[in-house]
Amino acid sequence: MPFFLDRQLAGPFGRGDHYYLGGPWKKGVPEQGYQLRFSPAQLYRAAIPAIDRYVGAHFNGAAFASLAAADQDNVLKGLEAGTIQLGGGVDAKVFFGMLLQNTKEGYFSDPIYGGNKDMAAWTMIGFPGAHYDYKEWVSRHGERVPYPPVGFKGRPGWTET
Amino acid sequence: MTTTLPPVDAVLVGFGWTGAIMGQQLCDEGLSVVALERGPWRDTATDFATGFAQDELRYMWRHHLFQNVGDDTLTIRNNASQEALPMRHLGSFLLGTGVGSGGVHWNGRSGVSCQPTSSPKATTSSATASNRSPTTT
Repeated sequence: MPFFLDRQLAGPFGRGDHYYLGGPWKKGVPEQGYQLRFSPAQLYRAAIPAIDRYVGAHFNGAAFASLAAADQDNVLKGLEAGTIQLGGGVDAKVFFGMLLQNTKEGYFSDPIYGGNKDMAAWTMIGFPGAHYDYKEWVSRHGERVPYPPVGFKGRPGWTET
Repeated sequence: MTTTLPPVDAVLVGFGWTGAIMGQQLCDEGLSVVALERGPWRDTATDFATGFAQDELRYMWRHHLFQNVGDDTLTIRNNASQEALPMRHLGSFLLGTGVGSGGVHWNGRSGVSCQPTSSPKATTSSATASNRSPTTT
């Protein structure tokens, strides 16, 4: 997952190539969607140190990564609910939403993007992946497709000699 | 400086399914036609090759099929008491871009009509027969 996130944030998504990032900057209502002035990569870069500042102030100078799992969960819950104020123009709830969305994307997208190693997520949910087509299966409702998953670059068995 | 181009019989604004079919029919009748399309050219072999056309991250979540609000966006509000704000990232509605992209995108989202909407006459008749108000579904 970190590989996926790093690559995404280093590229067009991170730069916000598909975002409008000009003014005016108002908070808006939730139905008006993303209204921060950060590109996604800028939001990550602002939010991560802001979270560590919050954790440091509330857990005797600790960093998020060194907290016990239960404390990490509580901080994440506070970010998700928006009950934690991060400052610096970072909306905790918005950042959590983007982090969760990007995590799902990395976990379930094709392995060419750096996550879903060995198609483990697809194997887990029984998704056979990017086969050439599924025409023969169109009318076979409810049947499990028995093929092992295949990604855009094939699967490991194809390249073994 | 204005560039004057040779006149044509018909100009199509937008080159999706509708424009392309009209263009074919007009050309078949011997008319000269120009189609205007503000998005990029697309064709199946290079842009939707089987093998990576299934890339949901690229086409859907990274908006490869959609208009880029970074180039041109709109403001939106849901009622008159709100202040209209720029749509910074497409979300609730997704506008296609490029040759045929609206068709590609919306075709991908075509649902199967549920029973009441696919048979309004039967629904209305049934409601009337049982002495209830005609439904509006």
